[in-house]
This record gives sequence, C-alpha cells and structure tokens, in this order.
Amino acid sequence: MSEAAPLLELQGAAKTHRLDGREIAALSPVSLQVARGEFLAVVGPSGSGKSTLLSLLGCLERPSSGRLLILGRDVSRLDDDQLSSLRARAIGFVFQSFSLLPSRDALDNVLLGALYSGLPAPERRAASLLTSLGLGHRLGHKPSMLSGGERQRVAIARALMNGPELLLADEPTGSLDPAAGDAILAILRELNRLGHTLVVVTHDPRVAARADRVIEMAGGRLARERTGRALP
Amino acid sequence: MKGVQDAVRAALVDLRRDTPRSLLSLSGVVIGAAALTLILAIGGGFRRRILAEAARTGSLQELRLFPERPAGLQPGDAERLKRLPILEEVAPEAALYGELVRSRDGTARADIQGLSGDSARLPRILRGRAILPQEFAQRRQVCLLGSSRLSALFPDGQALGRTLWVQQVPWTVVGVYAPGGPASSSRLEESGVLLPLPAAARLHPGLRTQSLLLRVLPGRVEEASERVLEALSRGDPSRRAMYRLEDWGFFVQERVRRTNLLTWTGSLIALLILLVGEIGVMNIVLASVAERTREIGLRRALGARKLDILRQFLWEGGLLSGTGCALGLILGRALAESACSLLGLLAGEELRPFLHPGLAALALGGATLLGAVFGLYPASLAVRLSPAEALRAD
Ligand SMILES: Nc1ncnc2c1ncn2[C@@H]1O[C@H](COP(=O)(O)OP(=O)(O)O)[C@@H](O)[C@H]1O
Ligand SMILES: [Mg+2]
Repeated sequence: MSEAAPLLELQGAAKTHRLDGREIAALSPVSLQVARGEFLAVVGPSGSGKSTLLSLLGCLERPSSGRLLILGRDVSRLDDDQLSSLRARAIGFVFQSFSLLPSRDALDNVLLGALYSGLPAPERRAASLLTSLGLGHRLGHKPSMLSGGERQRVAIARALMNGPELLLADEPTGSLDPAAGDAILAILRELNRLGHTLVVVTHDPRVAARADRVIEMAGGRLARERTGRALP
Repeated sequence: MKGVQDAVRAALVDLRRDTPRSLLSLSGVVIGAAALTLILAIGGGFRRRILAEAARTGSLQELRLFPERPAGLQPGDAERLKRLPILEEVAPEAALYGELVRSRDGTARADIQGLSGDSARLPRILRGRAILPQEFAQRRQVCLLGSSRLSALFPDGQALGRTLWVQQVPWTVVGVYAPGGPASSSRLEESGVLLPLPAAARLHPGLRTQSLLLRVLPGRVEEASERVLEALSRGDPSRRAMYRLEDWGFFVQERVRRTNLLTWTGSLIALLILLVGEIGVMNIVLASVAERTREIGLRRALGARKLDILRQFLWEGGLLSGTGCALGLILGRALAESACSLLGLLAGEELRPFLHPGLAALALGGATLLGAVFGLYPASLAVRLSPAEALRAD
C-alpha cells in the first residue's frame, strides 16, 4: 500500500450479465483511477453503464473480468463477508430514490447505517449528524413526512454513520427540485472538502460543473474525460 | 442483539402491512397449534384425573400380597407384617366372585367383598352411610350395596334399611356406594356388595382372606416389597416363592402410559396440520422477500453480510410461526375447556383440561424454530442476488 496508490483503481474491469442465455455487456473493459480526496462526476445517457461502474467501485458486485484495487490492494480476492465489512466501514452510498425504510423515523433510518458495522453509541452520532445536516427538528419524522431534500439528507447522514472515506452517489439530485438539489450538492461538496472521496453519477450539469474531474460514459464505455472545474 | 431487535421490528412491520392476509396465511399454524393444544390439554386432564384418583385412594402407595399356594395365607402373616414400620396399614381382603344375591324384589350376580374394620380406604358413599366401627366390632349384619347392582335388586331404588340375602344369610343395607371405590385399583372395583369382614368371615366360610392390602409409607414401595418378603420368609429364602406381591401403583402408571400414548398419537396428527400450516409462513416470508428486494440491497450496501440477511428472514419466519402458535394456544385452550365440559358431562365425571406450562412453552419454541426452518428457502432467495442486482429491483 504505497502512498502514491490511488484510492480506487479499475484495471480493465468489465461487467456482463447473462439474460436468457445471452451475454449482455453492461460495462466494457474500463480502466480508471480515483485519487484520495477527489470529486469525480460520471455523466452519460441512460443505460450507458454509469450505475454499473459505481457498483463495481462500491464493491456491490464483482467485475466479470479485470480487477478493482483499493489503495493498491486487489479486492477481488476478498470473500463476500470481507466485502460486506469493507462496505460497512469504508464506503457510504447515496441513491436517487433515497432508499429509506418507510416504517422508521429519520433517526432510526440513520441508525441502520451502524447496524452492520458495530459502531459504539450510534444514537448520539446519528442525532448529531442529522442536526449538522439541518434536520435536528426532524429526528422523529417518518420519511413520508419529509420533503425530498430532507429525505436525501437523511440518506446522506446514514451514509456518513461509519465515517467512510469513500462516498458514492447515484444521481443524488435526480429526484429533487433545483433548490433542493443545490442544497444536496452543497453538502456533498462540503463533505468532499472535509476529506471524503466522492464519486457522483449525475445528469445534472451543475453537479458535474463542481467536480474535479468528469468522465462521460457512452454505450458501456468510457467516452470522454475532462479535468478541471469549469466554474470556480 | 441489535440485529435481532431490527429483525423483530422488520417482521412486525411486515405483519402489519397486510394484517388480514397475514392472518389468513397463518391460519394453518393457528389451527395446527390449536389442535395440538386441544389434544394435549384433554390428555393432560385425563392424566391428572387418573393420578388424582390414585392419590385419593392411595393406590400409588399400595402393594397387594397374594399366596402362591392353595393353602392361602398363613394365620400369622398379617400380624408379622403389621410389625413392619414401613407399612402404614395391613388390611385383609376377601371376596366371593359372581355370587347370587337376592332381595325381596329381585336377584343379581355380584362380587362380594369383605371390608376390614381398620381399613383407611373407604368407598365413596352415595346414599346412606358407611359401616360404623362398632358395627364391625359387634359383628352386625349390615352391608353396603354398589350402585351398579341397585336397580336389579331394588327396582324402586329404595335400598336403605332393606335386606339382602347372600348364601341365605340376611344383611341389612345401610349405604349405597359408587363404582370405583373402595379401591379403584382393585380388581374388585365392580364389586357389588361390601360386607364387614369380622361378621362375614364367620357366616360365609368361602369368604376367606385371599390377599392382604399393604399401604406403604410414601415413596418407599420398592423398599417395602423387600421388607415384606424378608419378614414373611422368616430367614428361609425358599419361603419367598410362596408369596406374590403386586405393585398397584404399576397399574395406575399403566393407565397413565396408555393415556399418554393416545395423547401422543393425537399430537402427531396435530403436528402434521401444523407442519402444513408452516407452508403459509413460508408464503408470507416469500412475499416479504420479493417485496423488500430493494431493502435487502440497501442493507447489503450498508454492510450486511449474507448471514445477516438470512438471519433477518429466518427470524421473520420464526416470529410469524410463533405468533400463530400463540394464537393457536389460546384458541386450543378455550376449545379444550368446552370439550372437557362436554366429555365430563357424557362421562358423568368432572374433567378439567390441563396443559403443562412447560409443554406450552415447548410448543411455542418448537413452532418458532419450525417457522425459521420454513423461512430457510425464502431467505436463501433473499441472498441469491448480488447487492447491486437487489438494489436494481423495483
Ligand atoms: N443485472 C442486470 N441484468 C441485466 N442487464 C443489466 C443489469 N444491470 C445492468 N444491466 C444493463 O446494463 C446496461 C447499463 O446499465 P446501468 O449501469 O444501470 O446504466 P446507467 O446507470 O448509465 O443508466 C443497461 O443496458 C442495463 O439494462
Ligand atoms: Mg443508473
């Protein structure tokens, strides 16, 4: 594990799915590096393989071929339980659909983030995370009583429970109105500034504009790459 | 522990999501558990009644001594045994089988049993009274009539104060007793007439003492057998073969064993119903897995291992089944109450259902375990998908 090793490195990683006996390529072999502390945006049309790429980076599935290195270490050797523990400790996920449990209030939804990591005294951390995200007065609210932006903030708090180095977000503003989307973007940027490495799949040009680097996917391939922020 | 808490909450949410459907799917378990409870409670009731009856008549503490030779018991045998401190009572028993008994209005065949004055074991008197100690001492010709012979001998039902003839000897009826006494363990249970032995032994030469009833101090039946044979053999081991001891507690236990056997057979059938009912549990868990595929994906993303997910749905199956079983226990208990009143009414005896709390707990635990086992298949489906695939589900 050298200092220079990127946080994430895909080496010719591809993903194919078997559907009715036919092989469907969701992702053609991709090589990609994500540096520690980087804010990477992934853009591209629907079906271009963005979510698949994110799943590979988040160890939600294994590449059909190629490898994923995390800090220079090949994680394809890890078994399923070890991958689970890696996700629990080091990776936070945010989804377009929030993925909150409707029967549980905001605090309990955030606590779910600590259920599998064995974090001690999670209640205090969950409450303080929600408070720092401006939801201190919504702890006991069920998701159905929260706005879209509030729900996504609950989801972000849940992703932050275990203090993960890596945050992966799949169209986090996709279901939000522009104002709420901007608020979420501001939170994500702030988290990135605090040191979380951030990979965001997005259709939103305003999100992409804030990223350190933007990669564009097309037809399961990495089509273009642009470095440097368009806007300061 | 947190995982269990979380699984329980998830299961409860699931139950509540569509309560009528859940209850419908659970009905098999409820009915199976109710049937099981019903059978166990009725069986338990019978068992208790047998044991209570045995305790009342003391037959669990009884030995009977029979001679193994035509000459019968020796004159000194009873006296020798009365000196043994382990025996609470030594009562001579004598009987004439199938004797013709007459009254002014009818005749009947009846077993004549001699009753010894010092016996602690008394028949259950339905009408009239028992034979008094002074009547024993004064060798009065009074007797007790078994209710099963009442109508044949006294068609008008009025027996008290009237006369019976046994082998041409007149006896005055002072009481009517219920079948089952004086000793439910006795083979003379159906005995028709009880005569006081002091008088009867003189008037009926055939009514000799044929056996001795030995009442043993509680819990020392086995030891007592040895002491009795020791005392009777008087240092000559060959004499032991001249006597036979019957343990009457053994017969009570035999009845209990038979009741248990029937209870277990019935339970097996109820268990089969319960087993079929578990398919309903499987059905609910299956629907739950299908409905919550995204949630499974989310939990996997949050770091849940396959085992965590498996465990969650096994708990759900177990809790559902346990809930169904608890409902079944309540229902079955109520059914047993009615069934026992009906059976009691038919048999003319009081029967109360009894379900040992430990057995109820065992059923509850067993059903919970069974639910988990039946949740195994749906749970395995829950971890079949990769986290990414699960998250992709709608
Ligand atoms: N589990 C799967 N089974 C079959 N096809 C899949 C699966 N996952 C993704 N795909 C296919 O792979 C392609 C890329 O999907 P995805 O990564 O979700 O694209 P995006 O997120 O850019 O819309 C799509 O055509 C999709 O239908
Ligand atoms: Mg996508």
